[in-house]
Amino acid sequence: MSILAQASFAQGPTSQDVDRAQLLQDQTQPPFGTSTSSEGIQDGHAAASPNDADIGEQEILKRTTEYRPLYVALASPIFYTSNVALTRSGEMSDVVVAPMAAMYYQPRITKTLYGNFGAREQVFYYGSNHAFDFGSLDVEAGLNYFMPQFHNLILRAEYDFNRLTFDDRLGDEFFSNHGLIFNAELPFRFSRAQQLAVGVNTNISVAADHQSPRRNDYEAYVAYSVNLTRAFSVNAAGRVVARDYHQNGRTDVSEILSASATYRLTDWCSISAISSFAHSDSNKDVFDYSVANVGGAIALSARF
Amino acid sequence: MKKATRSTRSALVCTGVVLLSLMAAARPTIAAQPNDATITRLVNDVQLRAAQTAPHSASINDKVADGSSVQTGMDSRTELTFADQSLARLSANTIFSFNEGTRNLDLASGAVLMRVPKGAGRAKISTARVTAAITGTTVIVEYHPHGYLKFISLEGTARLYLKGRWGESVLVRPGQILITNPDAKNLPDPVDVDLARLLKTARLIIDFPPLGSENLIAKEIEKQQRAKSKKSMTDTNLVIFGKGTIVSLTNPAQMTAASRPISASVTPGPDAIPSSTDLGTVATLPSPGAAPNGLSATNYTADDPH
Repeated sequence: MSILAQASFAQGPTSQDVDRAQLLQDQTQPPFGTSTSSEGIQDGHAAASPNDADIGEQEILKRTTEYRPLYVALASPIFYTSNVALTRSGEMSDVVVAPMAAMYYQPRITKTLYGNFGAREQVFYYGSNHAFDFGSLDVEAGLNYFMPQFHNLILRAEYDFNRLTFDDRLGDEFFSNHGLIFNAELPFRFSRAQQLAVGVNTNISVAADHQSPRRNDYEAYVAYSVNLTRAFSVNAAGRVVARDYHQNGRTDVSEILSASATYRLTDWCSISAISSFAHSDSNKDVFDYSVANVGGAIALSARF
Repeated sequence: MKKATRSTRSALVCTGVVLLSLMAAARPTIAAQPNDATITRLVNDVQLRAAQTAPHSASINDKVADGSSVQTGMDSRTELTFADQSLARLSANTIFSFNEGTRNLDLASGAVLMRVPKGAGRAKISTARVTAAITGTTVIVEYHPHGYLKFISLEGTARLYLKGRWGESVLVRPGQILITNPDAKNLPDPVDVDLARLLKTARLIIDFPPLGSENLIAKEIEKQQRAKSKKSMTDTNLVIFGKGTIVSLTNPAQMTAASRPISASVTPGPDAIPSSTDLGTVATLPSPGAAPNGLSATNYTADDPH
């Protein structure tokens, strides 16, 4: 019922509306004559009565929502990690502060196709193991395509340049990678508040400076989110990632579980509790590791 | 001396026991009163049906006990005022009951305008499948079992949710209308409705004394006017005239005429429910196959690249 009504609400007073009205009427009229039930329903509508004006005339208004393509975010996670160096033995724990700044421009090209251009810088500061401090810069350019006809399938393709630097010295690079990322995600909404998404992700390295960390990632994931209240939501995700390194025949398989709870203080500010656990198995045993992270974050974001 | 003391003590104990008994006896009466309502307006045929008693015609100032139901006949209306100053105005052919005052309002069928002032506590209005939390709001609800549910918020934000469908809830903000099949498994998105026009044409408002929330409604009307002047909200020629779900496509002349205020004493004539001059109508017939959820999910995803 409401699908039909809303489809019409969204249109202006054009001739197509009349056509649609007639078309819909043909599809929704009962096959036989009118009927009135004892509950005051006539042909599915309220039976006419002298008091029909009791609840007034409801003129539908059309709201024009302006699409805002610019997205800016600042976040500062702080968390405990059980394994700073991601090693198999001799694990050291520490506290990590990882401030992040990001800006994306996502122009709408068609109703279902969006551009995605952005940059994101995050610096990881370790509480006592300062030698591990590093920064990560990503610059992305790509397209996001939505396919409502296929259960709202989302396809993404983008070029990603990733650059790792010592500490927060942006000019002091120790690794860079040019990658092509392809992602397909299928969301399933159980209700307005719950959604499950399954997806696959590949990150193909096409060029890198320093070959030993260079790798291709192949990932499958399932993510669940639920809005428990207007402002409070919980997310959980499980991922399996195969990392195929370009050198030494090394292949790792990582299983990652993560969960977060987010409370939105305002439209632009939220606080979160975050946790994750990862276990990685490598065909080169020396690279096996397990790590657990628990902490919190505050995030500011806005659209323009 | 001892005897006198003993008898005084006995008298005090007896008096205490009697007082306590009286208080205990009086408690249910005192506790029940805040949950009762009073008939403050009445037009034509209104029936009261208290628990396990035969229905009888209501009169002005009749007390409606907690758990009772009120039924209006054809061309009839009534207003109930609760102890917490909440108001329920019932349209024609409406069956309405309440439990624990405004905490559990039940609309079995028909239409009701509810005003629950802020600070009146938790209030909810229920139909068979859909419940609305309406604390601190003024709303209009129209419901016909297995037909449709229409919910309009005049001021304040209400939350609608489906019974037995965890997470399936929708916020209906001031100036929004939501129409759904009450048997649906998902709730649709609400759309905006012209509050100024509704206020000028609703007989549950213009034929009755002030609601008490006029200032709050006026603020919401002002917001809509501002949105219209900024072009972020525009008029359409899609109108539902009164009850029901038939959306009429009206012509501009009708729009202008309809936007003029209607005098409280004017009985709506046949032109209030146009038919021959319509450009067309969109039938929003409830259909079991048309669960009103798919479109909103599509829009949600398509409009937000995240």
